[in-house]
Amino acid sequence: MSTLDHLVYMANQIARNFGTLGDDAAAEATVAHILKYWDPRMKRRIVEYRAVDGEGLSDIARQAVSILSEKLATNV
Amino acid sequence: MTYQPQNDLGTPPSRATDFVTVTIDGRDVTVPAGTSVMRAAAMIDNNIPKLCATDNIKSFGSCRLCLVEIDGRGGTPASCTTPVEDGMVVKTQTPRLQKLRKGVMELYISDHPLDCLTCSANGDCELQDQAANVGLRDVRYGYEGANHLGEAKDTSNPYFDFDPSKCIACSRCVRACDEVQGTFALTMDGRGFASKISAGLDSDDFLTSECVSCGACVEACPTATLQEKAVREIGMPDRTEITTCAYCGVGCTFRAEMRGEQLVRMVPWKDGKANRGHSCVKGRFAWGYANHQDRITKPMIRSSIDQPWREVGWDEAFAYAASEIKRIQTRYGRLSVGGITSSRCTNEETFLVQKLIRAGFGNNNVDTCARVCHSPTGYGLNTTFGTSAGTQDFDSVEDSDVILVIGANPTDGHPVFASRMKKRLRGIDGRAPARLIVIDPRRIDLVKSPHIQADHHLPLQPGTNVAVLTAMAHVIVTEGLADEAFIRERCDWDEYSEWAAFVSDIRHAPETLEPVTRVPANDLRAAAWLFATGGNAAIYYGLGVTEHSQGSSTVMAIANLAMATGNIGRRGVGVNPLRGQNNVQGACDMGSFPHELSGYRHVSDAATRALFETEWGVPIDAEPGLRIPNMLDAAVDGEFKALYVQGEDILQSDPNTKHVSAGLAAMECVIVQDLFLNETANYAHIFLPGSTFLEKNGTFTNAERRIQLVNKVMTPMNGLEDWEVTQRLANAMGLAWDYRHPSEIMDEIARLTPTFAGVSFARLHEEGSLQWPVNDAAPDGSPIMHVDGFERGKGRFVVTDYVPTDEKTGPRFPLLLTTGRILSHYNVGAQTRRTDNTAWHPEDLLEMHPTDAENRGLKNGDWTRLSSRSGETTLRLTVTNRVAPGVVYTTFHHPATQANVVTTDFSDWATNCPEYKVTAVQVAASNGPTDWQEGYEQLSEQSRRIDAVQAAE
Repeated sequence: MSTLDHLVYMANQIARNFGTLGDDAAAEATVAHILKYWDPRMKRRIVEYRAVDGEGLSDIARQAVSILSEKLATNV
Repeated sequence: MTYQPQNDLGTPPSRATDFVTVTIDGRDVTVPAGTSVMRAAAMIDNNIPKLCATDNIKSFGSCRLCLVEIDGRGGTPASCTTPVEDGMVVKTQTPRLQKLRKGVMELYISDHPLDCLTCSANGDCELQDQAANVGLRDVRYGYEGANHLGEAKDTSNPYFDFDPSKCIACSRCVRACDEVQGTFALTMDGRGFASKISAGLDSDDFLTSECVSCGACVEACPTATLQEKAVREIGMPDRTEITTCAYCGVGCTFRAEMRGEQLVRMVPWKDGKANRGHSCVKGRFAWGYANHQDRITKPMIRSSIDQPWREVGWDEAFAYAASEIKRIQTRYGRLSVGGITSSRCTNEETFLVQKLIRAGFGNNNVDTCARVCHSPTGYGLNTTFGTSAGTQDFDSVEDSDVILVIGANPTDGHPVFASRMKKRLRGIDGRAPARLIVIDPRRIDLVKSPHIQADHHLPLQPGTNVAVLTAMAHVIVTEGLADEAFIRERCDWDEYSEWAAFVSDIRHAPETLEPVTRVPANDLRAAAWLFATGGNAAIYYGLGVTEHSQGSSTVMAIANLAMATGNIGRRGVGVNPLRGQNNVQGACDMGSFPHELSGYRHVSDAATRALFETEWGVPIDAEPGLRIPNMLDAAVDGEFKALYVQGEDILQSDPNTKHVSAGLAAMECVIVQDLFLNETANYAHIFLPGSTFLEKNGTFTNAERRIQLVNKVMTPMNGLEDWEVTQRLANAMGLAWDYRHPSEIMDEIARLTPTFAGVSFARLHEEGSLQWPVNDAAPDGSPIMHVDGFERGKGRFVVTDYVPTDEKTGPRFPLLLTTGRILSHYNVGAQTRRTDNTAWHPEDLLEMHPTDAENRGLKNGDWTRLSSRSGETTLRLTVTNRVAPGVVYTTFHHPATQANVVTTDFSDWATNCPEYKVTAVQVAASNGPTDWQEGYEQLSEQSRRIDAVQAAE
């Protein structure tokens, strides 16, 4: 698995494990998890991937990365 | 100074809480009711002569030496079997008693070799002592009659001898094996004069018997009958130092018994609160690696890994390492370097390594080997309870009524605690035995062993822990077994209600999940009922829980079960992770994870960072750093270029060996600090020799959060303790540290970490040990956590949805491989393989069910090729019904096995803890190593692994 494939897999896996929360809450929980545990490069890579492609991300993971992208942009 | 054995009060303490006063030889003593006269006397330093009594096993009353007179009673009762009564008046020394004792001793000595001067137990022999104590001067019977002298010694055990000629048939060894260790390997064979101690069958010796070489019999033996070979070879020790074992997370304390700087033996310390005077074959005997010829004692460097190592002085090594780190950061950026702390090293050493990375490297790229074992415990218990640690002390098990063991094999992985658990399961303390539930794909020893039979063994399909635990929760909630009063008082009711609704869904019923878990629904229902209604229920778990793609979910599911049944916050209950490494709890506590500082405080918390910034005088990065697998990914991508690894062999122990080696090979500077040139060192540019636990001061923290001192008993062979190596590396980078002793490092930890606020070396010396949190709220530490409420406030129920692993079986890989450990070896075996423990386990074997073996035309002992999507290896087969059809199992102690060539990239969703416990595999016949290969020393048994290493170099 390449690093990017690994990151996409991880994001999907996190999203899937929060799945029972319902889509929006699961996306929020996924963002919180990524913010808490991923290093800045990993966050940047997944945000870049979402911006140009993002097909490999599940719906919840894609929503999560979108929120992440906004948060990083506003530096929250 | 002559040898001083540990104090022995003769019989075990009474558990009674009411007290009685007796008069012994004119002196009053007040003791708990039920205490023996012998123990009461010993408590006022009145040591009644004894041979068959010792205070870690029940009194037996066979040697007739401890007789006393009691006012108002006829005869001369044995003091070991006579309990005290209020107002009792006892005489321990009268002319009648003296005569009787002398007569008894005459009989013993008439059948005992009179070779005291050349006997290996000279100076540490209770028979010799008692002969002196009773005033024995001659033996009227002579020495010519029938006797047991001249019998052959059994020297089969690599660490101790059995010399039957010196046996006095007191049966202390037999009783220690039964009561303390719980193996029942020894017996008293024959009757009367023909009585003799026997290990196993007539055809057995100690090595081939069931004996697990824990040393309890050696410790119990009052003569030289069972004695360490080292004492015979070296002589009696003359000084002792208490220290803490460096093998597993039980954290046994030992008396290191020395002559000069030579270690003679390690004797389990009776006052040690983790082990209570017991030991296992590793801690007791397997310390020979400390002086092994493979130890590297001089620093070495090389500019590239295809070059030979070059020995250098410490200064040159540190200067080179510092210049490389600086060069790489200048060229590739601040975040291009990182390090790994060791769960084998002390708290102080671990703290310094993470400090070096955060303060010296200027980033949070620090991780530890807990990543690959118990990181899900940290996440799961922190989320649910608010603390990343187990809730109990080991003593707690004495009050358990139901014990649930899931994903752990305590008799092999945590043997000393397992013995305590087995004691409770046998109910030998006069109370009904605790009931036992085992959830494990494999029939571990605990399921059925002498005098122990699990009430329920749920042999689940590997990877379905969450499904099984959710099904148990389903039964508990839908059948009205939840402890609602506890939940309303201690937990968030709304979160509970959500969780309860989730688990109550019919899709989580045991019957619905049976096709997935392969656990018969009726068994699962019965186990859930027992857990919820059987009284104090405690959960013990290990890596079979954490090393899965849903490791964190399983930990939270365990916490949910404990909260739902009210089994938190008192003795006998709780959630108990059986930690792997000696200091994995400590390494986590010390801030070894890339997202948190010591005491589990996230790096994004400005107030916490400010504390450290003030103390250290440098800014702390607010962003989490890379975890080990992320470091390796970044290395392959060319973004991560230097790694400082203290005491961990990631190439052998981390999953997907090919990926690890690719990551290491892509780095420009790998610094390995270790005792030996381990597998990771094949990719290293700088080797800093490490020191053993015998050569350093510091502390370890065990699975019960117990902080215990490690005391230096010999000079480090490499000249420096590990914390000194890190300090000098830091200073070479310009950090100007000046710690003179690890106690100063602990003082800094205490200043910066609220849960350690009350910890200091002085306090630890005073108390023996302390269980964190130690602070104003708990000045003497915290044996049990969450007593009046959860650390986080309200206990949090977390919905844990079962998500099957993506590692699937299929036509090419139809079997599931799971892995584990064996008693005699420790993890990658770097230490135990360099001891005589190889006598028990010279190679890793693959366990397979008879049906699977037959389908493949394989039989016991065959060489097999084990292949997965990641890679393949060869090892020999054991056919056994311990594993279910469809499941195979192996250990990973020998590098030749290369089990991690087979394991995959999959990992826990929350922590990236690798999924070691589930790999889809195929097994086929293999030619295995040829005769030519076997004879070829350097190529070892598996040429493929050697090839891989050679290619890497």
